[in-house]
Amino acid sequence: MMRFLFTNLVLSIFLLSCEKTFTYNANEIQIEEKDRDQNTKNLERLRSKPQNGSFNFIVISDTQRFYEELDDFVEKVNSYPNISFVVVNGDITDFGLRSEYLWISQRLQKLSFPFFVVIGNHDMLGNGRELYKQMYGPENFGFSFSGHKFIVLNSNSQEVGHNGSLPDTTWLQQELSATPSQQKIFIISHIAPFSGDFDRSLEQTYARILTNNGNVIHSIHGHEGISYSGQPYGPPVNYLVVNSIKERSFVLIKVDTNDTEVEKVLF
Amino acid sequence: MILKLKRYFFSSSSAMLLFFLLVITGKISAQKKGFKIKPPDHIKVQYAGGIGFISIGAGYSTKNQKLEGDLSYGYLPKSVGGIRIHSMSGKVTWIPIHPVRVKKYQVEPLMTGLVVNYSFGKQYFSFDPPYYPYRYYSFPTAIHSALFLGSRIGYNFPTHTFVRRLSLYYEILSFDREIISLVSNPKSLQVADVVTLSLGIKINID
Repeated sequence: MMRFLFTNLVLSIFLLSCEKTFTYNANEIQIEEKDRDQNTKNLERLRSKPQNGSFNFIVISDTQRFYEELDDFVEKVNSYPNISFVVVNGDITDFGLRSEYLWISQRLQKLSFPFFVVIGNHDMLGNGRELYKQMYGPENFGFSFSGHKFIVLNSNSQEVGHNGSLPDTTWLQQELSATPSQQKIFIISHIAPFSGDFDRSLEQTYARILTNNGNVIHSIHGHEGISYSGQPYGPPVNYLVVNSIKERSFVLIKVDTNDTEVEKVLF
Repeated sequence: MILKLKRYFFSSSSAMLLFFLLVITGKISAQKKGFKIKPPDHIKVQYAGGIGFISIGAGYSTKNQKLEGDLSYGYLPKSVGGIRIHSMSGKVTWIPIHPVRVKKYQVEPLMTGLVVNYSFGKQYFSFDPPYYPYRYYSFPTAIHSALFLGSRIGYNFPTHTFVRRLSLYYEILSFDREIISLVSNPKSLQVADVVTLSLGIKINID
């Protein structure tokens, strides 16, 4: 009988030594300094890298509740030479909870390369949107690398009831016009404009902005649980949908001054 | 209009949930002159355990002391949780083993049960808001439940005092969504990742 007490006491002492000893509410959002503003911190890491023409980057998506697949991905990709950065294209969590944000963060921080996290619809649940802001920074941001521009934005229209605020096409247009004309552009967001979960009233606006710009070469998405590559709105913009990491695959994009090559790698 | 009705439904559904918790935890006993709520037989003050930074609750025990139910209000200040959260919780505890008594002290070596927490706030939902396709998310962000086990040590006061017994307890909990995550990732997540601790005081009153 007393052994129950003993076992429980041993468990509690063990627990007191754990990182997550006390949980006050499943929806809590307290974040330590080391886990804050990770996109900004990674941008600084990226800026210290040599920028000489051609480079490679990797896109994964929908890591949701697939921790084993993510662990294997990190191990596999760390053995790759010449990767400039990794993009995690949204839905890093399933329930938008702090515990999940922390589990994913611990794993991504093991990557040997800078990484950027895009906000997905699941990541906005509950207090998820606030957690994302604290842990990764602004949900719409852009950066330049080796003569190319990367624009990341929140396109999870359904989470705001398709009220016209997501994606922020005004911001996108401003960001595009501020981009030097010699830079080729990649747009990255979780939900593709042709997805059923994208704001119907913004689909054509989004596609038109990209097509008319002339420098946008790829619009990269996730969310669908399939792989896709095509030009549904005509040339020159290629729309790419990256499958969930559940499938044990990632997309390797090799960027040259004249060309980009998209390769799907299974692991 | 439909949106307004839905909103009304959500606020009323939370009120209904509270009433439901009250009914299952409290014994609303019918008497000749009408309904009368029997005063609770214990009060609990708890630290952490997913139901608030500090929570205060009251409840009832069955005559054989094997089962108890509590309803509690929990508060999490922004300075601790990063966001302020008011919540209500219902807890059912099963005490399968007889307490061990040594003089005026008593030890309850094992208690186990379920706790259900409801967070108040317009960013959480119990049912998918109307702008989602049917059953888009299959889980309520406002409601979280956890399984727990723990122990208790108490001191019995002499009879005819208002405070009958004062006990200290702890519980080791695991939340529903964290258990699901552990089960689907046995190689990547460990039990230590999904458990958390609560500490509390139970006061048995007359």
